[in-house]
Amino acid sequence: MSTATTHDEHHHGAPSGIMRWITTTNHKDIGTLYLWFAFIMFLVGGAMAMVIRAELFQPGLQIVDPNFFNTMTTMHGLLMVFGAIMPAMVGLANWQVPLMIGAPDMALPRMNNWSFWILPFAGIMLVSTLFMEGGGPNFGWTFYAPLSTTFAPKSTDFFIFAVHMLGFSSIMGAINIIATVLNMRAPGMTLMKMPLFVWTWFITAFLLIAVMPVLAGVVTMMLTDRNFGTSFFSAAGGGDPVLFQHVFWFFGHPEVYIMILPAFGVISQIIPTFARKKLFGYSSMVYATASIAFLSFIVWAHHMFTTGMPVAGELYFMYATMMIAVPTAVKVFNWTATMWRGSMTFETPMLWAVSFVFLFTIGGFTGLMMGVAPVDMQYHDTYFIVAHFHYVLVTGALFAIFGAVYYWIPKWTGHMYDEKLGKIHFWWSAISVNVLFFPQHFIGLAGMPRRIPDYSLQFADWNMISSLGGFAFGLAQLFFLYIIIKTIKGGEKATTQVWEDAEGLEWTVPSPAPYHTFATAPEVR
Amino acid sequence: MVDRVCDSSGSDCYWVIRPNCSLPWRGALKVYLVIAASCLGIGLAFAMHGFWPVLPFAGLEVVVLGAAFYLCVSRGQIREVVTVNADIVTVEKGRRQPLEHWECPRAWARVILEHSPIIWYPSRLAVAFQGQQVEIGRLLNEQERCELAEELKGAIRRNDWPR
Repeated sequence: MSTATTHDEHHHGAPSGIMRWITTTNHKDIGTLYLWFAFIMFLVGGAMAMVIRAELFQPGLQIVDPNFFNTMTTMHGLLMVFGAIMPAMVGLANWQVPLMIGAPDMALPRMNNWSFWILPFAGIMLVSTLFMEGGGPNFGWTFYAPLSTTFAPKSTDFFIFAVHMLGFSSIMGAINIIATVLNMRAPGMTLMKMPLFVWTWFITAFLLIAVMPVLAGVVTMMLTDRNFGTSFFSAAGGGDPVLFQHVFWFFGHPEVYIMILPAFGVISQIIPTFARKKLFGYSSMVYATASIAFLSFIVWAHHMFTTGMPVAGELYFMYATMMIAVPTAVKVFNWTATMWRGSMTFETPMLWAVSFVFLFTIGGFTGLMMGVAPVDMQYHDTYFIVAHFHYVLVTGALFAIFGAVYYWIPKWTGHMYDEKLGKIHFWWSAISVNVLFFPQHFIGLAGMPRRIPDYSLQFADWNMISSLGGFAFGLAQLFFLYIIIKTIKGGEKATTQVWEDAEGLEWTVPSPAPYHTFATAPEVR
Repeated sequence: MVDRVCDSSGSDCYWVIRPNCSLPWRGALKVYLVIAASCLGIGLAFAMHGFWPVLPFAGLEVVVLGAAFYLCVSRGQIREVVTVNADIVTVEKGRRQPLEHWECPRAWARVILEHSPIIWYPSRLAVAFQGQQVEIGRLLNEQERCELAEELKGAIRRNDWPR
């Protein structure tokens, strides 16, 4: 037994300089780092989308060669999924989860630092493959074997390492969120009093923990197939490339929900605030989220209806997929019921939230169409699929992130954003995104395959319109960057409450939130 | 959180100070077992189909998760025990067993509660004797810390100790 320490040092302010950001263990700093990283990756991935849309502006090969086009579609998907949407959601979680549950920080702050700082290296490694001999990965973000094994460029090994790093980062982030939510809630903050955003992230963290080892395993098998003579996915050596798809989609389908469940949480925070009503059906929202998470594990093969699976298998995966519509509909119903007869106002976050409900539902309905096995034979690998998942991930997940940023940025910076500019950003994005993606339903139904740099003349008009929408949407996001910088630099001072009917512990701390909050736990009644 | 325990005569008292921990270790163990079973189950299922490389990653993840839970739960078991009797004031800190020990004569002990000049930052509670002081109650919220300070001051200053 030693003698008790007789002095304790406190340092309360934010340290300064570059080392603040490299060594920080503060959840707000790390949240900020995640959000900026995600935004940079969003712009890089967006630039790749511009290349894709420029090439598809007219039929014929115009700007890039087909291999580079395939590289662009692959890298665009990978960067947006692993570099932009997921880190942005983790950034929101880092900022908001401790504030919302009354915790002073994340449960494992050093691991939190590590989780973030793996990302830039993984991102740089992934992007650096573009400059390697043979070019970057060109097999689509789903990296199906044998395209990603037998026929892939040399840079694929770097892609594999980058995916491993991204996976480790995600796992550590997920472990941190689970440990934080379970151990660090303020007294009185029972599980069923937690804000919906915390709930959705809590469930998402379980999904991440369950599926990330599968991703790590599948890329490791790719690595050994490529370099060490194994034949997991090579029919010539007794393996099976179709089984790659099973393993990949066992990870890949929950991955979709990993990106969208936190978005549901964001929307469940924004709508009650601007409808000035309590969220309708709180507990049903929690159970619906958990149901969606569970169902996401048992529907993976609906991505593989055309691989020739038995009819019994098709029927099972078709009906299981349809079941997801039930808890999803519960959510849409509850959001609508929350707005019903509410004293609604339409500040920028609410505009994003309402458009999310409307446009995500379109994406959900087209998903339902694709879940019908017989008709999916027609839709499979067409632009209809591209339209569907962009409605889910752009007008769904990304719009929720935009809404979240406008909703919480006064708390982060201490300044109100420019409402007029925020609304311009919203309408500019909402109109252009529909010009971009809605026509892709038509060309997809007409039979245009995805991942092709050239196409038949019959698809020319809608492709041109889609490209124009794409350029406009891309430009709108540079405008968003301007709004963010303007808000950080100054603007009307934000109050503690920020929004008059917002509820939650984050609205009890000053704006901007002090570097250390809830050093002693608040009491929740 | 503070638990005050006194003997039947009310003369000897001790205060047990513990951190807020929203999940007891048994709960943490249950959650961990469920997650571990799910992850290893998925890994095993893939291994049985020939995709054994999933299993070591699942195992590694379960180990890291276990370490993270262990750290969190063990932090939740930190305790500070302050004992005041007729002669001495004792402060012990530790986890499961006292790891740090400090004591001073009651007659010379002082309770110091310093409020931070910055309104948002917590106050600092310490027991002092001559040039030394030991901080206690960092695990408490503001109200609990102030209440504890008052209780300790009362106990240390009282002059009706049975001899």
